[in-house]
Amino acid sequence: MLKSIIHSETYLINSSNSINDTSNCARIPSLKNENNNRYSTLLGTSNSKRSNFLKVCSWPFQRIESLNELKREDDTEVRSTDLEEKAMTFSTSRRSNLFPLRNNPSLENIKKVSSRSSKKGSFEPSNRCVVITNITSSMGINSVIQQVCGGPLEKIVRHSNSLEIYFIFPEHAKQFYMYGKNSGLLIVNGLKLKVQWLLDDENNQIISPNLLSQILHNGCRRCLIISKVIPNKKIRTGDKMFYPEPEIHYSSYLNVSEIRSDFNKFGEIMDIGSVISRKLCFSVFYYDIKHAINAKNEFELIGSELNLKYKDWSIWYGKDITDRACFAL
Amino acid sequence: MASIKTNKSNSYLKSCSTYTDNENHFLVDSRYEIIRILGKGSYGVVCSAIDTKSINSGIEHKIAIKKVTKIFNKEILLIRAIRELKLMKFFKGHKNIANLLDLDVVYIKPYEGLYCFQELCDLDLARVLYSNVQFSEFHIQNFMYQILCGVKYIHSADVIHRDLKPGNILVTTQGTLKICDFGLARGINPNFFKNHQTTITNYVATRWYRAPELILSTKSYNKSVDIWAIGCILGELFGRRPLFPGKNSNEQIHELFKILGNPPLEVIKKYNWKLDGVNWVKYKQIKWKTLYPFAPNDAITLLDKILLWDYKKRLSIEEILNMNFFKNVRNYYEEPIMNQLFNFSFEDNSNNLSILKEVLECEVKEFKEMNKIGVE
Repeated sequence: MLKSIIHSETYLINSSNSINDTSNCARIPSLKNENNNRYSTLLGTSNSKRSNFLKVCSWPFQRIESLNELKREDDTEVRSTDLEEKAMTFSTSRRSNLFPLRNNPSLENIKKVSSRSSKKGSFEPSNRCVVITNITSSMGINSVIQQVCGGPLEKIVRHSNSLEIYFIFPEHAKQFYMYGKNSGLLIVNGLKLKVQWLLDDENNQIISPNLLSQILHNGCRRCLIISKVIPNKKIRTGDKMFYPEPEIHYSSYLNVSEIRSDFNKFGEIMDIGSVISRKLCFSVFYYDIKHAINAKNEFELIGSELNLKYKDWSIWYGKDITDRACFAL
Repeated sequence: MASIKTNKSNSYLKSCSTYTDNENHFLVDSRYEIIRILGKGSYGVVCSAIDTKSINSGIEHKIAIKKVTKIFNKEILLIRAIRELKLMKFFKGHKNIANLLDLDVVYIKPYEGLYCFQELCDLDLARVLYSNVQFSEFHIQNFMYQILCGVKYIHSADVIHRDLKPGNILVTTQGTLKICDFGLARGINPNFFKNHQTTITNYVATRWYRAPELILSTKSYNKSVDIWAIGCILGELFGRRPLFPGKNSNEQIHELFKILGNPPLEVIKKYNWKLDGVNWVKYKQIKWKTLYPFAPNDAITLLDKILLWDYKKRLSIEEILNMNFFKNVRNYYEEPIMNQLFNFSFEDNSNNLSILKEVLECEVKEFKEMNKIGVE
């Protein structure tokens, strides 16, 4: 029976690779313009105890200690040239991830780079906020954000029929702006969205140095992934599909309303997601990265209410849903 | 993998790369680097590719390329390809429907076919179901709710998908679901049936998700064939195995008997079903609670109201959304409907291959112009 599932018209997916290959979401190096790599802060590597989790949740997580490891690996990888294609992608992607550290991005760096890359007069060098207009009442926030791409966001500010989308990095904002401006692909429920730069309010353009350093060093995102190991659950290895035991693979005690009220204390929640993982796992998306940082700090503060309530759970920053490439024209 | 540069006189491709193995031939714009074949079906082949044009953005952009084959020989296959393309364009931008990025028609043999470029997802629901992935009531509610939102959008345009199944539902690791494969979908609004016959084929949907009225060949059927499939998926999410895994058409009806019991006499009469031999054996209906003792009662109620022999008694998509099971995940602002019906009057030319080819080319051109892909 399973055979027929495998051979049925399940196309698009070969998850065996996408699950295990973390390079899937790692940045690949740009040969044309190395500057772009400064903006990639996430690491596509799995190490130590998180590797199991990452096999299913293939987001990259950043940890300082893993950066040092990578630096060492970097040297050895240069020597091995004749690797098969996949392995190459992986090693190069890891190397590229070191750029943010080497160049230690700062606000000045970002400004310098973006002003160099943008020659059009209308583009503010450090502008990272794209305003989406033409939003109608039939479009929910998740429907709109699902179509946003380019890179991770700092925050989303809602108005009655527009959204201010603050990217962390101006370069990502520019990519999304170009995508929205020059292609007809930015569509929500059949309606084309319009994009423009946020022109006023100079203060909003600059991300606070403190926040930026947290983002760069701790990999902060507006998404939190909260997961819990299921005791006594045997994990089958390999890529073969099988019929799992329904009761063991079903947890009956997850209460979303409670989760919502527990996490809403730190700021308004945009969405709670049902994450695909071998652990019991969900995600909390905030409108603002600061709220996610606060929630995570409280969660990890030993003795706090949240810490006690979720003592069997682990928490990580997750990949922003907007952190994917825009279709280039 | 062969990767050669050619300057073939194709209307859109300036330079292209090809991929060839024993039986598959792909010819795509040189911006795409084909990685590997992902799957095959009666419709054609799907492969994954890297969009090299996105490389300078610093993010690797993987996409899926679906090549619909044999469309230039058989009218029905060409019609299906046009339907799929029109529907993908029509439903573009819904968060639970796969996102079409680019299109191409290639006439050069052996690469000929319609090429659809789509966003690549990490998984599909079958892969998720038949793995170690941990579910909770919330997971199942959220998965089902997303499928429902997608189907609501589709049904609101008077279109039925006709092939809903876990393999046709893409899943991202973040848990976002997207319905794909409109190869069997079609419009059913009577206003567009004017100039051609109204019979529509029964041989649709993958067997395990095929509604009883399709198997027992009732002449007419409607949106409730999708509702049936949704019910099968709901059961599968709890049971972690297919609900009705029949090995062939006869066994399929037998599988239904085993769980639902024999169909009520009045339903058999109402639709004039010829059951003969199958109905000899008497089966008692198995209670959903016996099958899935750990499932919440709201889910049991839902199964009871969806998986019914009589398709006219099944809940509509709106009624399902209103059920208690979804009250925790429901968001009224994220349940859009289409503001127009799907017009399929192009099917009037269903026996004229050259007109159909023109329709196809027009559709591709229109999509490209709308999105300014390949237009200088």
